[in-house]
Amino acid sequence: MKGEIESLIEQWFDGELDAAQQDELADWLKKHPGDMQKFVVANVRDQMLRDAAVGEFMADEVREITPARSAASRIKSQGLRNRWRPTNRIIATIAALAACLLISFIWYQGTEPEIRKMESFSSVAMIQDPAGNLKIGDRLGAETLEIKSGIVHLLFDDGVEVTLQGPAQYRLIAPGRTQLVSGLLTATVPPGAEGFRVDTPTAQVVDLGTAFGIEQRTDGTSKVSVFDGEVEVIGQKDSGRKRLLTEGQAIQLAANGKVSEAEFSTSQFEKLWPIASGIAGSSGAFEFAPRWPRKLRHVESDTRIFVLPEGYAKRLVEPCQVDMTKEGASASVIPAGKRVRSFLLQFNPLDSGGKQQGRNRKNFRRIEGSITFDRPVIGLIVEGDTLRKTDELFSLKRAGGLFGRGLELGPSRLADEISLSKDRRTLTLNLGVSDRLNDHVRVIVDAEFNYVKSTTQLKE
Amino acid sequence: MSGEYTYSPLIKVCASLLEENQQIRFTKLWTSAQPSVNQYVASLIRDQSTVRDIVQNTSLALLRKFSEYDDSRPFLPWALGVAKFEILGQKRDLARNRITCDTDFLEQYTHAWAEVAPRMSDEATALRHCVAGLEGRARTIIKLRYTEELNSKKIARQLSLTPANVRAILKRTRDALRRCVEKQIGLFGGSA
Repeated sequence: MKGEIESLIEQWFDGELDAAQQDELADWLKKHPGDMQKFVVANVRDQMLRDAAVGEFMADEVREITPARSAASRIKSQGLRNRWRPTNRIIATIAALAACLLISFIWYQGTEPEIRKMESFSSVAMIQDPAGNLKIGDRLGAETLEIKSGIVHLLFDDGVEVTLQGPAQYRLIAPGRTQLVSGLLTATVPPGAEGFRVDTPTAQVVDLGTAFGIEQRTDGTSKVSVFDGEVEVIGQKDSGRKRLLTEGQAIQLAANGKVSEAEFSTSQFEKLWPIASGIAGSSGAFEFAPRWPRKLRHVESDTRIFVLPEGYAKRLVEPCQVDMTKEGASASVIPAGKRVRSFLLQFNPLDSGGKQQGRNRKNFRRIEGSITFDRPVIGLIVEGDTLRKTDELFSLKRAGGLFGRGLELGPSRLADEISLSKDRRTLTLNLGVSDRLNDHVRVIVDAEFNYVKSTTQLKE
Repeated sequence: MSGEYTYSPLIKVCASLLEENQQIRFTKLWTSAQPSVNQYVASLIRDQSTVRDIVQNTSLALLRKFSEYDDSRPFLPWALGVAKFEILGQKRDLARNRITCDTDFLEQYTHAWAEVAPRMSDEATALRHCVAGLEGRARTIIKLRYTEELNSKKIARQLSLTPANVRAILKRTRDALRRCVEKQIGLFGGSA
């Protein structure tokens, strides 16, 4: 019954309740004061959201019309407006309409490529082993990408990120609508861009806020795997039946439209993940972490510094304290509103729990490597306190059970070392760990949308 | 929308019937309660012009009865009680008329509104900040839903989605806004 009432309340907000449903809802709420209270709270919030939305979008419109209004004010101040008679206005309106039609016609005849350029809705953010004519910063509109080999990372204007591994054919149809004809794809859809859709020859995959992968084989079969969140899969020959897949689930669609459960496996996507996450390259001890296990203390190695992307790129809702913005620089704050992406770099030796080697033994290990991000690093968090304080903001409480996470920086020969390249994209670490301790570096990278565009402008 | 009715000519005429200090007192109380009364009416009545009429009539009725108001008691429950009778007397709304004709339901709903709405007033400012931060499809859907008054079916048609997708996105967006509001209130004080 509870589920039915929740559904009725949802329909109430949508204005979709018929008379009988209204009676049913009213009867239930009258008999359940607790639910009545919740219903009223939801209605208060709905109305507050309406007021906030009306204010916000009215402000948008005011911003859009401000130049026109300024022009009107100027005319008024020159005393011209009052002299306009109705007939003059009509003649002027007709003349203006004719001029608009003429301009539109000339525009349509002569500037078709310009229009296409204006309708672009995604950018090439990164390319690895390029074998085509795409280059970083290219703006893309409705078109088909043929990727013979290598990996291409696309950033859509609404924040959706798609990474393709060649050979692949991928059609960009419209903002939020694409089609994978063949190849391997991963998509990360941040909050706010839900509803992103990838069609395959046999199915429609609609994202509901998630990360997922599709393997579209040349024999017509496809496999959809969900890494995080939920997707809705609608088989085109499955009578329009919708299947909701959640994290860790996979589904297989045969060329004839037959749908079957499939074993969830991420191995085929492993080559895509670093690029999909914004890592341009690495050397030395760095290794991209497996997506599972989720608890950081289970991601351990004596010879590797693991790279763990922390969730989606997002706008900071509060200022973020960082310990350094470049080598040797002091603490600083990244202001609220900045769009960032975060990575945790972790050196967690196998016996850090003291189970194999004994708790009192001082096992000292040193490890080094360099990692290059596709965007500039704007902040580094290296102290234990700051790591803990920023855990909730970025790491979804995965860091439980780890000790001594901060770096020990200083003149000692056992100290950790950290340096950032001049272009702020390559970070080099030389880390030393003893006994049960771990080393963590949280890297905050610029994720503003205009970065790819500004890179292109710089090149031009 | 809030503040639209506070200084209407009709109210000014009626206000002139009160003594000056009573006028000031009424204006202060009504200005403070009016956004919540407006939201309360709009939550039950879909047609915006009917909402305007009801709120206008409520303010006039309050003004006429202001001499009966016991100022040792909060003003909002009194104002909502008057608005409730205006809703019950309203026959024009077709969209939600069944539920608004149920006297018992309306009684409980009004009582609960008077109790919870004042406690949630801190959320409004934080919510405006959070809505300004919306991006992408969530922003588009919120705009279509609340400024163009489209339901999920119509939004879905415009954005080539299914109505279920739109409902899911709306739910997630409301949840995300709720988390944002809680965070804002936590940062800058107040009670969520």
